Amino acid sequence: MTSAGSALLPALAISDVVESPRPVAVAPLTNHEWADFFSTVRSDRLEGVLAEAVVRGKLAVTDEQWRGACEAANAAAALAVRLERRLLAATGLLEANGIAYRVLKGAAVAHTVYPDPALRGFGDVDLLIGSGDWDAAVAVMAEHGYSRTLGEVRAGFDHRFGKEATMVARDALEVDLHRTLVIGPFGLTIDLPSLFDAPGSVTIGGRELPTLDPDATFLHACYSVAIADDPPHLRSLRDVARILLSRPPDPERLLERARSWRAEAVVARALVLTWETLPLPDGGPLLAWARAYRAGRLDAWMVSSYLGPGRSYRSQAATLLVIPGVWDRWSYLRAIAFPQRAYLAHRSGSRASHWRRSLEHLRRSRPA
Amino acid sequence: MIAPAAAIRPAPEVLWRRVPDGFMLLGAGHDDPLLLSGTGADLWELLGAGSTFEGLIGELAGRYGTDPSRISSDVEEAVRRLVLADIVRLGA
Repeated sequence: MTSAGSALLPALAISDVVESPRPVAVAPLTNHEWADFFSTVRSDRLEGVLAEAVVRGKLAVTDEQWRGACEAANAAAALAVRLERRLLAATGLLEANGIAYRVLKGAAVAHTVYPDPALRGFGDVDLLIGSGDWDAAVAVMAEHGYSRTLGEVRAGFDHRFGKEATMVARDALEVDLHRTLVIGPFGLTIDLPSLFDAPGSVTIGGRELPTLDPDATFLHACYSVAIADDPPHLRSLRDVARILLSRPPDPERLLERARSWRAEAVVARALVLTWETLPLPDGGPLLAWARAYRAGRLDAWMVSSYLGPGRSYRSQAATLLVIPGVWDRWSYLRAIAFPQRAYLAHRSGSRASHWRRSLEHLRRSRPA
Repeated sequence: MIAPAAAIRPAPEVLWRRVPDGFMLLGAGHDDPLLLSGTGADLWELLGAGSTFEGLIGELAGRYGTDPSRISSDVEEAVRRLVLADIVRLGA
């Protein structure tokens, strides 16, 4: 990323979040700078934000750049409505089979957190499924033409330890079924049944669909920023910023829930990272708490297991720390050490190469 | 011919996004979204508040500074296209 394009991204990312008379850029980028800038805008699904910034006179562009921005915004909008149609079909299937679900992430956040859903792009459908309904949900989707991209690690793994299954329809649109909100140890410390107690809701295509409640939506956004992707996507940072600035959760209630999920270190990292990355106004008492928070050694290590190269192996190892009971730990260890052959075949590997990679990453992941 | 007093409403199942040139819409049972720009986008915006066919023509004519009789056939054709795409519904 060239420095001129890179420097504009944080300002673009908050151009609709805070009311500021300051423009993102008063002169167009050169074509070379634009190419890099635009590539990040698209990969981060900020096409709607870019178009809005130009329309509102906050970002200067050339005619050619504007044509490209419009085409990208149109493509993002077309994908969003097609995914929402897919969402309605998938949730209709689940409802018809008595399977409880919650709409997560993009489609839910676009309509409930943003004043205009065009400002929150997304690339798939995300649904939370209760552990008890997991196998039934995967089976129902498969019966209706969806195929699972990656098989189960080992029989019974999904509904005890798994995070998600990606189901792809014939038109290549993806529906991600989630059993929990994040992979690894923090995914196993969430009180999952509570997410089905008192839902929020979103109305899409004339249907009211259940979502996470507002506090859980914020915590989910924090997981996305702090430990889901390294570095985090700008769209995830925007979610955290917009929720905290426009409808901040009650700090005491939120932190009590975060404590009960063992997620204080996650929330603190998400808030500090968001405010370090984006030029935002004061974030109030939760940000002050986050800046003062110091994670214990174990929580800090659990967070660090999600970061940097080899994080998928290290977070798998860290998961052992939060699995209660010797038998469950053994089951988990056996599954990740000896995945079924179909799973390995999907990942184009043998048991020997799986072991070599795992041991190498684990060797590097011992706590300091 | 659409009756002047016919109610024209967005279909409840329609999915849409605002885009720089107008609106991207997808009706139920259709695979390909439709981009409405120019007059079509104006028409969609006016439908949000609920309209009759006659009222819609009057609003558009006012917006473009023209006589309603000069645009009524074009508006009717546009409305019929949107009905076929399950984007709007005609009422009694």
